[in-house]
Amino acid sequence: MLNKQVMSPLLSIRALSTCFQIQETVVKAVDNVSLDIYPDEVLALVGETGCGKSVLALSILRLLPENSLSEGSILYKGFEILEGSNEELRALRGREIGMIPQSQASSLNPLLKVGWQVMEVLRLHTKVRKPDAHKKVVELFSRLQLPEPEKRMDYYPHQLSGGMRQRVLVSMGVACNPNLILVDEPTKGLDAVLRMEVVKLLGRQAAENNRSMLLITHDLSVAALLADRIAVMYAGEIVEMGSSAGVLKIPRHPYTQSLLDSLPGRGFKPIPGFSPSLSRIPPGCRFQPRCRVACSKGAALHPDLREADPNHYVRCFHAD
Amino acid sequence: MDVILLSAKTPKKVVLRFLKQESMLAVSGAAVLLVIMVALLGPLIMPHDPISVSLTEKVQTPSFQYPFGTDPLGRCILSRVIQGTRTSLTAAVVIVSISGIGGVLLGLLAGYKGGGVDSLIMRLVDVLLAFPSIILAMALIVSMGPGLESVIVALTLVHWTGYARLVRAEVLTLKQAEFVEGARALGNSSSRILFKYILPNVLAPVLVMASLDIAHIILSMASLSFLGLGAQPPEAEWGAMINQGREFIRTAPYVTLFPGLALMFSILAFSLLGDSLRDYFDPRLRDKVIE
Amino acid sequence: MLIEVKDLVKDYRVGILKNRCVRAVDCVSFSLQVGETLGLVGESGCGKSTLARLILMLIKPTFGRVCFEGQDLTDLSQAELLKLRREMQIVFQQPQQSLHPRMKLAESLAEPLRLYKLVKSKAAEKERVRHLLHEVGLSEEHLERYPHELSGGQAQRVALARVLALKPKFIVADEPTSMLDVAVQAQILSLIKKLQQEHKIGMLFISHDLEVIRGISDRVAVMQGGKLVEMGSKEQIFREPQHPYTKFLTGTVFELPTRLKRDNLRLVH
Repeated sequence: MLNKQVMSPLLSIRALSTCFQIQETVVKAVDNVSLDIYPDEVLALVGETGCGKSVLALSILRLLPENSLSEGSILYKGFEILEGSNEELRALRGREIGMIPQSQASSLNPLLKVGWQVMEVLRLHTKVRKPDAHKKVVELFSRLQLPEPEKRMDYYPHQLSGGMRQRVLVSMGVACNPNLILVDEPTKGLDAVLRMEVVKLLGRQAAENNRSMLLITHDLSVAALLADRIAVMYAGEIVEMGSSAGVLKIPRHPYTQSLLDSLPGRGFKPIPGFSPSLSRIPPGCRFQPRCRVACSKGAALHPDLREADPNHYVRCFHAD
Repeated sequence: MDVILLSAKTPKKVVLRFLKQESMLAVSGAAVLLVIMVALLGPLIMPHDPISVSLTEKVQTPSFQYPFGTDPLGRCILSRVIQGTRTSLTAAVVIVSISGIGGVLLGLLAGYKGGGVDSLIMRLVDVLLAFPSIILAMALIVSMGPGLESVIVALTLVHWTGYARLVRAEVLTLKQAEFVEGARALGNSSSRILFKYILPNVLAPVLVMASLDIAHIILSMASLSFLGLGAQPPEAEWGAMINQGREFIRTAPYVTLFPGLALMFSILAFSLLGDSLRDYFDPRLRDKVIE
Repeated sequence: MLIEVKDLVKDYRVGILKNRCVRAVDCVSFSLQVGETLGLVGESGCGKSTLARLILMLIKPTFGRVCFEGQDLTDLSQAELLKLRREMQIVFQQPQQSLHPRMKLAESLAEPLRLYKLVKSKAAEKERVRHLLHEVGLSEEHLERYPHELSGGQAQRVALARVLALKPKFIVADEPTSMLDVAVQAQILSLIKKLQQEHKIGMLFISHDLEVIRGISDRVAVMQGGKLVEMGSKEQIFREPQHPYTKFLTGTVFELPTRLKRDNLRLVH
């Protein structure tokens, strides 16, 4: 839809690695990841639990615990996030980069009214007075199609249904009209009906005023419905990245192919074995032990991410 | 290169790492161990007989012969402090064991059975908790006559309620847990579920509570003895000793100082142990591992 | 007939004074043949998990009958029920939480064998545990681990092995894959299907995901608000849904990758 080559990216990640020190081991959760998010684009980061995709999102906001270390570069509109001061980062979070957290059950404070919680986000970043903030939140709620927005302001989280709580969380993420929203596993553990509702809700948000979105999910069907481009992560690194159509219709990496085949609609053909723990990553190609076209080269050597088709990157010796 | 095993697990390294990560637990554990050792080795390390009176040597300042000085009846304060450790600790352990075991069992029963049994036990707990515990103990002591045995009975009657409440609340949550439901579906009997599945999972908070309780009980006993309701002379007990030294506090502060310090040290040791055990048992605080 | 459920009702009393009555399961009847899989689909909160626990008598029904091989379970005493438990088992939704957190896997797996004295000696027990592990695709290195050291998929395999140890005739699978990733879900589903066919187990498979239900069931029942609104063969339900709610549910299924974002803009807006 857009010519990506001529636009400058909104967020540009280069050679990002994030490590954790856990007791005496160092675990590399994100390994040498480079990606760009352009204005008005939804990029889906797809991978299994423990592949490092959530750590990547938290690295962008520098919200990781003390025992972690990020190296590389994360440029947001030319600003180097990894070198930003605490004040600069606070100004960035919520205002420029919004985050919609994973769990709609535990991400809201159960003791505060939901309206107050959303107003708090607004008042943190803008010098808006209380009555105006109130008006703005009501407006936000009605835009998100929360029924009876004025009344919902005074509700506590437990008085709302799962779908409504999800809307409140989304409204917190978009309250200050950020340019980029990070969405962490928006559909995990939701039933099919609620999942569809969330997908529609996020789709509408992404379509609004030139907003970019980084969608983190394990569910390829959710990615398919929302994303312009898809990056597939396995064991801490990106193994395939390209347009949604490219990645889903002509997947080049055996992992992406297997992942698609394990969808219930495709007859859930399982991938043999288990994904490696980040503290015990195989040498060479990380997917080689489970690969359907495993090669001896992959057992010994680690493939690079190469452009197999225009704008379609694959980390596999078989991609050429 | 992704995984750097900095060192293999030798026993020495494991111990060192434990000391570094759980320094609070190690320090408070050592302090508690010291108190226990003093109590156990008491008769062997006492320089003098703690109850033999010697009026010629009354209220002497600390010296080589009497490191902590002597009290108004000429008894060695160091020996009496050591004897006091024995008294306080024995009584506290007896009280905590009886009230702990009783409270845990009643709590398990109330939480698991529910219904009438639950109501009965919990209303009894409510009634006991409605009285200020020390007043209740005082009332019991007055009716039974003062003395250590009365204190033990009185404090036991009060303290089991805490365990019963704690365990009942934990059982109510655990009863809903899938692994307990699974155990039931597998065909485990009620008693097996209670003791094999539920009990091990409530022991950690009970242990924390017991440690904090020992501190609390030592203090309660000292208070009761200070008021003359607990240990009777010539028995050595910290609260009673402090009371004895009251009138000499200006001329001979060491008579009250040393039992006071011993009291403070043991209470601090058990309280800190309880707090660090609580942190240690909380898996969220133990290893922070990101998914 | 393996399982026959007739007019099953469960009421809950709620509120501080326990004076309001909520009907979680409302007059449900169905039957299940030996070796057959019945898929039960519905939104969260529709009463499907309550129904599962009612059938296994983990909670007492307010009204109605559950027959297992012709024997009415609602009449049985606790002791008689305990004997029948071996034949009817359940797999839960939260794999890590369905195992005793302080039991090593070796112990967790041996427990059902000891409980029903299914093995004569220690050696036989070890052999059987090893066999079970292989059957669910785990290896001996897992035996010394605790549940929190396993991934969700591995924990669910252990739960399956525990159930299989008893050689049950009937299994309830209560959303066994809804907390798992797509890739792990595929592994667990194909494992369940394989084991079920090998051991000729009758299964009630509960899920909110129609795609999963379609993949695993012979017949499908649709539940809404405590009632079964439609039941039929898999083909009937997916090709010609009758009830409006079933039609609504089948509308939430997205197929891949034939529909992409561009094609779905109308759905999103």
